[in-house]
Order: sequence, then C-alpha cells, then structure tokens
Amino acid sequence: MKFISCACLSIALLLSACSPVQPWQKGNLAKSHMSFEPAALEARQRQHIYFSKEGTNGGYGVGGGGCGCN
Amino acid sequence: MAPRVSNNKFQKNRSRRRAVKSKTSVGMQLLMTAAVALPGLAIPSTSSAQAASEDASVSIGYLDYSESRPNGIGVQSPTIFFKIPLSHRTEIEGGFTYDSVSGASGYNVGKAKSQEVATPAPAPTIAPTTLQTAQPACRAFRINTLAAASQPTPAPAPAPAPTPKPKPTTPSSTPTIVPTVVSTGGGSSRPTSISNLPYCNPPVSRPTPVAPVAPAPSPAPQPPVVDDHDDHDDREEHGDRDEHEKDEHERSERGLRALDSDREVDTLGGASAGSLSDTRLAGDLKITHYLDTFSVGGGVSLSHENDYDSLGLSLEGRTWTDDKNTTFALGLSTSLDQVGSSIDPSLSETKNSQSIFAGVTQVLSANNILQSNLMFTTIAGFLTDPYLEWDFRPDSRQSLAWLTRFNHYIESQDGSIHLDYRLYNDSWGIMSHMVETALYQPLFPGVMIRPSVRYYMQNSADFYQYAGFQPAADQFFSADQRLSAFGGVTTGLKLIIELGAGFSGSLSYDYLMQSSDLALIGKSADGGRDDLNMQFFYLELTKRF
Repeated sequence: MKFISCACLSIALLLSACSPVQPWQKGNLAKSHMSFEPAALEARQRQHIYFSKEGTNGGYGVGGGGCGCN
Repeated sequence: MAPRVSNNKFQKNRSRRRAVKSKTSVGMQLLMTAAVALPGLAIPSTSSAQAASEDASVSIGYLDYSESRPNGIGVQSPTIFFKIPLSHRTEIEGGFTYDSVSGASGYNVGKAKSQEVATPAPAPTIAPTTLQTAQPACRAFRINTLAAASQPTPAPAPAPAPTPKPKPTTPSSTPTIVPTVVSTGGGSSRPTSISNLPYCNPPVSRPTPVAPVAPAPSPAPQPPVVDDHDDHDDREEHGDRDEHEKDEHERSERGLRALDSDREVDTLGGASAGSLSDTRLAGDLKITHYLDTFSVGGGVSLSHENDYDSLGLSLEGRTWTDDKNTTFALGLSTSLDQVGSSIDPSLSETKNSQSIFAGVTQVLSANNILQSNLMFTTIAGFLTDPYLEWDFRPDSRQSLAWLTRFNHYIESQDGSIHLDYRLYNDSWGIMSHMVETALYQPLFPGVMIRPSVRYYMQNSADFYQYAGFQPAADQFFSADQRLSAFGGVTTGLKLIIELGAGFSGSLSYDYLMQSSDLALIGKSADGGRDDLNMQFFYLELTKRF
C-alpha cells in the first residue's frame, strides 16, 4: 500500500509541476533517441535475457510471450 | 541521430495528425512532426504513442548469448519484427523469434552448502538427528500438498497463504512426502500431480521432517543406497549423454542433481528434451487502433518449447490530454501456460498469470520527458521448477513493479541521456531494485554511440535455501539461485548507424556480471549465488518503407 501511495504521489507531483510545453517546442522530444524504446526489438530481447536470469521482472508493459526459462 | 528524410511522401496527408514531410527542410519536418504528434509518432512501439506509425518497418535481429564459464549455455536467437500501418488509424505489429539453446551450467542450483551436505558433516542449520544422508545427485523426494490432486483436470491448486513458510498443519492435512522412482517408460503409477515430478533416483533415505508432522511415509521402494555410480547409470537410462557424463558427474559432486537437461539451469530458451540443446519458438501479433483522443489495442502471443507452451492475450488502452503532453496507458494481459518436463513426459501442469498495467507519460519540458508505470501481476499454478532438485514453491505469486523512466535531451550534443529505475516487490519476499542509464551520443552524422550501465539487485525469497537443505514436510524451499540475494551489473556499448535508403543498423555488446557479492542488502546467509558472467551481442537491421 505504501508502495502504491508513493507511486501515486510521485505521479501527482509530476503532473502538477509542469508548465505546458507547446507543440512547437517539441522538436527535441520527437527525436527517435528520445523515445523510451528507440529499439523495440532489441529491448524485447534484452528483457528476455533479464527475465530468464533474474528473479524479478515487469513494468515495461503488457504483452509478450511466456517462457519456460523462468 | 539525424532525422530520416522522406523523399517521396511529400504532403501525402494520410492523417491530420501526421507529419508533413519535406525534402527541403529537415528542421521544418522535425518541427512539424513534433508539433502534431508527440510523443511517439514515427517512433517504434512505446507505451505512449498517440498515432499510428506513418511508415511500415521491418527489423531483423540476431542475438548471440554466451556465458563466460565452462559448460555455460549459449543462445543464438534470430528474430524479426514488423510494424505496418493498415490505415492512418490502424497499425499492426508483430514478431517472431527462434531461440536455439545449447550447453549447460549448473549455476541456477544452490551452491556451496551442497558440497558440505554430500559429506557426513551435517549442515549447520539442521539438527544432527534430523539430518539424513542427502545424496545430492538425486531427486530424493517431493513434497505433495495436493491432497486432491488426482482430479482429472489439475486446476491450479488452492493458493497457499502468501507466507512462504507455512505453519505446521494438522496430521489430516499434512502434506505427505511421496517418494517416487523415475520410470524411463513413463508409465509408472504416480499418485498426484506434484508427486508426478521426475526423480532421477530413489530416495537415499527419507528425510525426517523438522517440523512436527504426520507419521512419516514408508521408505522408498527402491534400494536405498545410491552412489554416484548409480546416478551415472540412471543418467544413462535417459539417453545418450556419454559425452556429458563428466560434466554431469562434476555437477553431482557439487550436489546438483544429475540432469540431462539444460533446463535446470535456466536458459533463455527454456527446457531441453534429453539433450544439451533446445529450441523455443515465439510469435506475437498486436493491432492498435487510434482515434482522436484515445487508442485501443489487442495482442496475442504464442510460444512453444519442448516442455513449455504459452498463450498470451493482452489489451491496452491509451488516452491523452488535449495538448498531448500527458498520455495515460492502461493494460490488461493474461497468460495461459502449460508446464511440462523433458525428463518426465507425464508432467502436465498449468501456470496462469494476469497483469494489470497503468502508466503515465509526461512531457516535462522541451527537453525532458518522464514515464512512470505500475504493473501488478498475479501468477497461479505450477511455479515449482520441474528440473530442480531442491525446489518446492508456493503455487501463487503476486508482484508489483514500478518502473520510472526519464529522458533528457542534451542540446549541446544533440544526444540524450536516459535514466530508468524500477522497484519491485512480491509475495515471495523478494524486493529488487534496477537502475539503468544510457547515453545517446552522436559521433558523426548518421552515427551514434550508446554506452549504458545497468545495476540490478534483489534480496532472496523467503524460502530460498541452499541445495541439500532438509526442509520440513510442509515447507517451501528452492535452491534456484535466481531466488537468492544477488546483484548484477551490465555494461553495454551500442553503435547505431543510419545507412540511407531507409536502412538503419545497430550492433551492441553487453557484458553482464552477477554475483551475490553485488547485492548491497539482504544477502543470503547460506549458499549464495555463484558468480556468473554473461555476454551478448546483438545485431539488427531495420528497413523503413
């Protein structure tokens, strides 16, 4: 519960603290390397490695196949 | 990286949200792209895209993974991924992966203490009177908690209390220790589902439960004396593994169950069937439909291994504010898995998981963007590793992962820095921290380099034990080193090159070190993790149309 509260609080702070960025100010953000997953396929493979080598996983989104490797 | 310049799509106007491309001004194109659709347009899948991709793309990747230790496993994994806009509002994406696994290593199984157990000296945490001779090379017993497990359809067993170490129960409900002998013919009578698990050898001697439990079951029906030689013979029954016998023997010496599969050891691709190789096929497909203020998507994924099949379904919805500075995502997914064993064809268990995902992506400023995701997952069913000797896990697990990612654009370099942090906690008592940072640094026009560092740390599951530990009859335990306390550091370097004509390529190298010494907190007192170093190369070629 504390966990969730903390997350929600952070998000709320995040949302309230920003001044709106105008569309014409977003050129830098539109660059591919500013995406959260500039290389979706590689990210998927990478997560698969960590999934099979570590005891925990998750957080990146839904979807993806199961694996007997964990 | 320099923005890609389209050369034949001037003012195609497939969507009012689409960027208008121009041959003449990269800057203008970039600006307009940004202005009409942010963040996410013209960017591969993210959880914050607000419009369909304008171009189709196909990526071919190749992963080569290896472990820096003798007899470590290796994985070669070619993969393909595509994304195709079916219309200006709908896009379809999917992929296909083929993992080929070879080699074997025993690192997943609890270490250290097993060597001691193999000697007459008792393990320190066990009273001498209760310590039986634990022949480490043998799956001596399995604890059965499924009193009614002989149901025709082995539905996921009733979830035990999340507490991994249950209190001793009354005799009537006390789990029984079921000695079982492996049958190479696969036709032996096996009373219940969990006790159906394979045993490489009959129990050497039945362990005396530490906790007060019901009268112990009768001894094993097989000759009680099992030595390495017997184990050797047993392995021979499983197939032609002569060339691996030495390794198997070494592992037996270490207290690991002699096993004809790399599965025990955790592979990227999963289990193997009686040899030191395995394959995994996985495919997925996802369709996303975009409307003015929200999008919906649905996906399906399938994977197949010799001993593991998975069907996954997912739904995702997104919505965003009018200024598109904030995107909310909500996702649901379920996975219906079938767990088998390459050394026991009769094993057929289910493992189902459900996840709910909620995320927000926020443009903080012209150069900063942040995303925060919460993901709750509950898994029920057969979570015990069928290839591990010392493994008996709860049949449910709930976890919460909180991932926060922050990207900052470095104007002076035309680069960016990414910072990710994930906090994780679950009902097995594991908490983990992951922090990763990557720098995107242009070297030349069209060439970018990406150094990265990732640190991971977890404490051990409540029921983690070293191999050879003698548990109480109703006690969960696992010697899977992935459930121990350890840390890992990955350092990576990636080269990204724009090749022109819609082609781009990348080559990356990562070196991953895992060790119990790298855990800053929650170190296991007993039987920590073996040090393990891994490396992987990844090569990718992408074509946009």
